[in-house]
Amino acid sequence: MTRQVNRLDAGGAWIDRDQPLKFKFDGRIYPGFAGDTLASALIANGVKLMGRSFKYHRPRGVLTAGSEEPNALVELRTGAYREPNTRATMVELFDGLIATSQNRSPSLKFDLMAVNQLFGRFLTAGFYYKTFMWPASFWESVYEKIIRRSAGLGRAATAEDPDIYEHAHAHCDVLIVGGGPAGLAAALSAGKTGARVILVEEQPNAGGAVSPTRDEIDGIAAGAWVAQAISELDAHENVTVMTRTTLFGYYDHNVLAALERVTDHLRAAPDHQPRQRLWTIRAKQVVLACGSHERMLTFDNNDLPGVILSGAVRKFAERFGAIPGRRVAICTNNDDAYETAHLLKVAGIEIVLVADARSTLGPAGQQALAAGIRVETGILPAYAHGMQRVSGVSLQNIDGNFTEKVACDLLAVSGGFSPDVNLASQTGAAPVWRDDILGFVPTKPVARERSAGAGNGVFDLRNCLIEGHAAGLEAAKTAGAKVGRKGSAPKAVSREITAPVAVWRCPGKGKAFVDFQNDVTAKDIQLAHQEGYVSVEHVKRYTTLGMSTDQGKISNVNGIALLAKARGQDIPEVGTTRFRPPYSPVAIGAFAGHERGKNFQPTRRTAMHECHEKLGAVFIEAGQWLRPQYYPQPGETVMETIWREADQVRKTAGICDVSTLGKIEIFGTDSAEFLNRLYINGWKMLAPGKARYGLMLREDGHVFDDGTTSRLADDHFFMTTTTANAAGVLAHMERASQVLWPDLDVHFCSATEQWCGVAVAGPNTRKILGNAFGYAIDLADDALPFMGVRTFQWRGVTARIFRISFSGELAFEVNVPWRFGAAMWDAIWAAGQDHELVPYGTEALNVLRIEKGHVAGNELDGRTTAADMGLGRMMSTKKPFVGQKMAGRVGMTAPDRATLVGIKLVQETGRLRGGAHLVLDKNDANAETSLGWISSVTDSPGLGCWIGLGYLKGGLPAHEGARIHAVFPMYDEAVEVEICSPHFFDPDGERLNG
Amino acid sequence: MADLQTAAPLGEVSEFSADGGGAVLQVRPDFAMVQVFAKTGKAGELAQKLDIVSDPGKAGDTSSFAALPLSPGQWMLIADNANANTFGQEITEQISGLGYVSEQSDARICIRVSGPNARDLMARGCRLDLHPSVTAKGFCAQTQMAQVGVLIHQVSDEPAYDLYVYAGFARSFWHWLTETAAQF
Repeated sequence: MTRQVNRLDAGGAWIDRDQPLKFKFDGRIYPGFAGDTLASALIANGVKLMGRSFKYHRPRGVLTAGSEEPNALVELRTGAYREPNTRATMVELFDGLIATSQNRSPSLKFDLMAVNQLFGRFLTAGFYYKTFMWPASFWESVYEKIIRRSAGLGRAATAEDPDIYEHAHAHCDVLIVGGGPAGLAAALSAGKTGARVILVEEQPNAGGAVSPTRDEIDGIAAGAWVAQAISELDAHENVTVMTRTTLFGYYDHNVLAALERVTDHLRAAPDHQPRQRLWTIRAKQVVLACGSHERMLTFDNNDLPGVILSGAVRKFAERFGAIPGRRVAICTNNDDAYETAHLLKVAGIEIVLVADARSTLGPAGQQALAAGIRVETGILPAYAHGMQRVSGVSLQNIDGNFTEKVACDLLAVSGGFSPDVNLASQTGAAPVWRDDILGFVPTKPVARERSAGAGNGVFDLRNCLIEGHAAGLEAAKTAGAKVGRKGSAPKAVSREITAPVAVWRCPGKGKAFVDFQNDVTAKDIQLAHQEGYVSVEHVKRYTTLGMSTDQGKISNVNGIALLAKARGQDIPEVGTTRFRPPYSPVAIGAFAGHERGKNFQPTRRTAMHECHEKLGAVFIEAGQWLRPQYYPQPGETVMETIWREADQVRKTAGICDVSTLGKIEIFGTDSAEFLNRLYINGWKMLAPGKARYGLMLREDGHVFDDGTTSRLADDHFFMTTTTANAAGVLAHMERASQVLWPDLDVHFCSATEQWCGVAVAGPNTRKILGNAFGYAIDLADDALPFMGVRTFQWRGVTARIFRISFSGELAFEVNVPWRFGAAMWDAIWAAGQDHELVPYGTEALNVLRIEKGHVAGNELDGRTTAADMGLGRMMSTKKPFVGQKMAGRVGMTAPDRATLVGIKLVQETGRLRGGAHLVLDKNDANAETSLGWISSVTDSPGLGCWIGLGYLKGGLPAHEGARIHAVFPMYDEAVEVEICSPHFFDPDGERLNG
Repeated sequence: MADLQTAAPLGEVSEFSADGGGAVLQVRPDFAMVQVFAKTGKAGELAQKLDIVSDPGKAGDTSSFAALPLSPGQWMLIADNANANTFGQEITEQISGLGYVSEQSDARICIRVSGPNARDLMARGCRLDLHPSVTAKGFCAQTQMAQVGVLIHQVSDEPAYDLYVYAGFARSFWHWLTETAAQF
């Protein structure tokens, strides 16, 4: 296997050198080790160039070692598994991994779009806003296409995502976010109280920013201590440690969301295992131990590959034994970079110098000097030299005077540390600025949380452990755990720290990047200020500072500081933007989980579903239900099928599954009174054994729902609702009963699935049903008159039969318990064979009801009143009912409201369309001249022409018999129609009696 | 008794076992279920009559049925190996004058979730905290799993759960449940 040029001979706590792997980047095969990240393996192989920047297509290398990475974004895997914008620093290596660079053409090394750099002076903040202003007509045709092509990074897979994603829920007393020293100390102290503890850690291994070899905790190397702490936590039954899990959202009531990368680190997910799992965690108390993010110094050309954050260099070395260079220069404004210097020196890397921005040396600097490292004080980086990788750096003093140029192949930079206040900020706790640490820290908590460790501005290891220990105890106690012996925090020795110095812009006139991901430079922020952007929130949106996958983890503080400088203000006066979820990118698939494609919503099937399948039904989704739409015969067109079904119902008989109607059983001595208050019409006089059509309003007076409700006994009613509103009506009733009239003796529950039903309609119905039910029920007019209801026993099964009709034909609806549904269908079907029984679907049902002028969902569209539907006279004046007062408002009773009419196509050609506007003159059709609309249409076999229902201003009284136009501008159609009564067919209802 | 052919919402399906042995799903046959409502003001008397309690979230067991409180004055009574017709009639007679009975034996299916990972499987869809420190045998609740309304009854401390799901959603819910259970 090829030598990994930048891999140290030993070391690398996370890698397993006994497990060599191979992976491919941009078509070339490289070696790596199990435990590597893609970034660490590329570094080990001497690869510096990993991506191209968003706007200028500048060459970029890795900048960080964690989830804050703005530069090294790659496309991972291939085909349907392809995923763009994955951070190389977060991708765990597996054998056979394939990654590709993105945002470059034709290749990473030679990118044509890098020409954008030449136009850099034009592509400044607000470029799109300024450039693509006019002409407006160019927006869709020209500009959008250009913008879309040049914007965005990477390509999403176009095939369906083959991975499994799932959701899961967890509950705990104490949730600890972050498995660094503070988080581990908190988990140990909280875990010992017996509280239910969950610790989430984004990385595959705990430890955070602690140095496994150079730091000591409880007298042993920190790496060993971390391992010990994890095994102790694992031994606690009440503690769960979740690694590879990013806590990305902190919502109200201590509901938090986390993404667990279950099998992303594997070449392929094992059978049935999800790729990722989205956790909703409900925690009584939260400890945020999120650590901090190192900042870059803002100097010219600071985005060159090989310019890397100092702490990241250390992590690559300690975790992976990979060092991105052999000759390193270090620029810093704080003590932490000296740790990097010591570590690299021990590893045998040449340290050119440490340039410390501070004017005097503190203890850390003195130690470095003593170790033989060259340290220069009061020195800043001026310019990073090199084409696609750093080859040297020019240095300057704080006044901007050049001092020297040094050669190096790695420039490690530390611009200070920003406590990670993201999650605390999500809760609404505004961060406050601390000058002594040059960072924002969380302020007084709003939610039930507290911060500890570096995330709280505590950078000293000893103090991190003490604060973590205390936070864990306090959280457990507040959550209700019994805290006995408090124990003591894990011990570490404090280091003497010298305060960092603020250097927000190293003097220079070139491109000094603040936000690497969005190519926002120091100049862009200056420009935004000059153009009058005052609020930090506006500057963010104008310049795009702090947006995209890294959410400004590295750049925000630098940007805010530069804005403050431009405004001549202090940083606290400028403030921060509020962080919002997600903390880091989450794939849409994880949010969707199981709920995608056909599983987006659950599917509901009726008891007779298989009967319909056997008859070749085509199904339609009616809400969650699947209903037979029509039953095609070989050789028929769709319309021919629908006509045949509708025609045969009128001529012989048809059977239709009506199980999907909402059914509600209502009990109680006050049931009739309850219905009286819900429906607009009266119910008290309805006798047992009778059904009645009812209409209910919303509280605002518009029509809510309709259906037939039957009285089975004095204190027992059986209500039906429309399929669409079944759940809504039940909720409406629950509210009425629990809130408005708790004193009524009325009780109800859904019976939609307990009972399944068929409607059998047409002249042959009596013969068919009589035979099917073995004459167990007398269907004669006097035994079961129109709107009559009976319960009968059919071969030992309790059945309910209702003499009601939606089609206008002689019709019955029969209900039996679910388990007998298919048997009932089969019995009726068998009995119907001698009587030309046809199954009919929702389409024919619609034809039949439009011919009868019966309103349905299209007419009950939430904007119409009872009077609009011609049902105004149903509104009782003798009793109060829900919606009564509001229905009487001036606008609801205005004489010019559009009311229900029938519409007939009078010309030979053309058709009617739902949604068409009704106008007097087709040549003068616009919003002002529109008199109404068509709600339902059908090409009626009964009438032999297109008919429809609609709403027309003035209604029948003003327009009956008039010929006007129906226009449908989308298809440039206009047809002549006649306005008529909506009762097209059998207006006197003679057919109801067969 | 009816001589008619009956059909179950899940058809012939009766069991699913995850390959890893962590979760077992069983479709429970032949239970009878009624929803009872106490007349306004009669909840106490009715409970006494049926010898059931009305602690929210706590199912009571009598010799012949389990009583799951649904809301004040409302219970779901579930009897194993019972005839739907006769069970409803018995209860109706027992509580005559005190309350009402709605036959629900056909409205829902019952799936028993058991196995070493039963609790983990439940956590994939159930938002309620089913930790042993919170729920034990007898716990019951109405909630949603996979967008479907579910009546949960914990039937043992091991744990095992009975999930009562509306018949129309049976196949859809079973699909989600088995796909999710397969990982255990």
